[in-house]
Amino acid sequence: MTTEPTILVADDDPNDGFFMNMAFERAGRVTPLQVTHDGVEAIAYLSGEGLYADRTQYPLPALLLLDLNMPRKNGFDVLGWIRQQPDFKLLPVYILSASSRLADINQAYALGATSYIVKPGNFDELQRLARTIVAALTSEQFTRQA
Amino acid sequence: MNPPADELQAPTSRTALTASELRFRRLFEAAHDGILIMDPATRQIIDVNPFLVKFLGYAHAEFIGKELFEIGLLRDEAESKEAFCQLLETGQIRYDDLPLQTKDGRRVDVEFVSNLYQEGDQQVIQCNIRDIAARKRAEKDAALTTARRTAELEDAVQRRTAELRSSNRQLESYVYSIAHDLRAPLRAMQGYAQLLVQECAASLPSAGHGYANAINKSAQVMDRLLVDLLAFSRLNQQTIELGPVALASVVDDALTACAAEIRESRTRVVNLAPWPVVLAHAATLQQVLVNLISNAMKFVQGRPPEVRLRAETRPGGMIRVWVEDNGIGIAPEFHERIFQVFQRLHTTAYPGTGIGLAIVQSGIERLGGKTGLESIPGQGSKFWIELAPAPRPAGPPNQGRNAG
Repeated sequence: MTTEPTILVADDDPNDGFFMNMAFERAGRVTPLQVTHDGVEAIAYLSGEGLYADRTQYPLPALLLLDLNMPRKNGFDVLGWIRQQPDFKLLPVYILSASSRLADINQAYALGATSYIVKPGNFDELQRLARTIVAALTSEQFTRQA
Repeated sequence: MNPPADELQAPTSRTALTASELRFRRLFEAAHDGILIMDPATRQIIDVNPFLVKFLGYAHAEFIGKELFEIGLLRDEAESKEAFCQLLETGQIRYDDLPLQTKDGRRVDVEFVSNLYQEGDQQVIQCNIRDIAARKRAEKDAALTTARRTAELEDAVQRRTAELRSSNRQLESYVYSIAHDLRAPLRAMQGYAQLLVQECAASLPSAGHGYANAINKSAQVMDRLLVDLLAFSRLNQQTIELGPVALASVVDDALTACAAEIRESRTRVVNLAPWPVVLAHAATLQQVLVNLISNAMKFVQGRPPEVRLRAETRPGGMIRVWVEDNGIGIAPEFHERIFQVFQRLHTTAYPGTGIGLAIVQSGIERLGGKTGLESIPGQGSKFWIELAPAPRPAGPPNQGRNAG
């Protein structure tokens, strides 16, 4: 049985979570995205705290799509924490933020982001992005890393 | 019975003279100015009043028979002689601000006026010496006060400017976050409208399709507006450092950024090299050019747009970049207004947010340049931006441009 690599999302906007799921579904994914709604939840998921201890239900992700502007702990906090964890040093983290500010982009890369993507302005573009990510996830490089 | 006239008059006038002398003597004794009487024949002091005695610290006897330079009133004999010649010639010498030395070596500043008087058949010199320390202190205080007030005023102006600048920056950052935050719900509206058409196609009547598409289109317009606003506020928040920028590559980048728009509108772009190197900031200049090119493609009627790009060196040495189109043109009365934010000349016929040319204007201002246009309605518009040429690099002369 082949299981799809898990994609974890951290985004406080429920609409964005919904559209992302829709876009990835249309891009051919069967397994829904794992969606957390702020930085604290995302860190809890990764470290397997509480209900996230159940790794059959909440498997470790092969990729994190991380929003920057979130309550409690923002994307920079999460990214900073991730790069300090030996287990997640190599976890691909794609920043998916509405901000196109150079300062944010620079800070994200400085903290070890794998990639920085400005949130697509419409659903069509989001679908294109989802297809690209799905294609990347099935590539050999990602499979090895996961 | 009257006494003889001359017997009568002599004592009276003598009495009068004595009275007058007495009066002047009292004045001389009590004056708060120094008074010094000299004999012009010998240049020697023959009398000084008590004030001067106290003021300069020499005893009365020490003055008598001395020349001025001997008691430090003038620097030396030569100067003393010179002053005398002048006095004899003009009848007066006046120094508004003369430094003197007291007997104990203190420096005092005085106003020194010397007059030559005829007294009967002999001449006499009267010097009036006024202590001007208080006046000078007052003048100095006044100057200090003025300086302090000026400094205070400058401080206030500077503080105010800084406050204005910071509130301006704050406003711009509000604009940025508002525009930024408005995009998220907008994206959602647009997405749901699109899903409505795509996912619920079967159960949606054709009018419903139309409405959903209208929502989608309006959302797109608003998104464009927000993107432009973001670009505008970002432009004004950025710190910009000017350096040499090769126009050739910035023009290429701008055209690449406009590629989709160029393709969709079937615009013919004429890129007329060569391009010089200007003093600018590449990202800002690119944004300005993108907006000018985008503007040039928009306002056409009944034919494919044509955009011509070229550079020209102005008589003063400035580099002018022209972006010329074959569009509908702009009447002269609108030439200034179109560079202001949210100023649009066409409400429905042509797309636009009214921010594009405002970005051009404020971007070029930040690069220290100028913008303008020439246009005749019906015959197209020629927009221009003007920038300083990049200073020649200081390098070996054989590395010039004609070397390769």
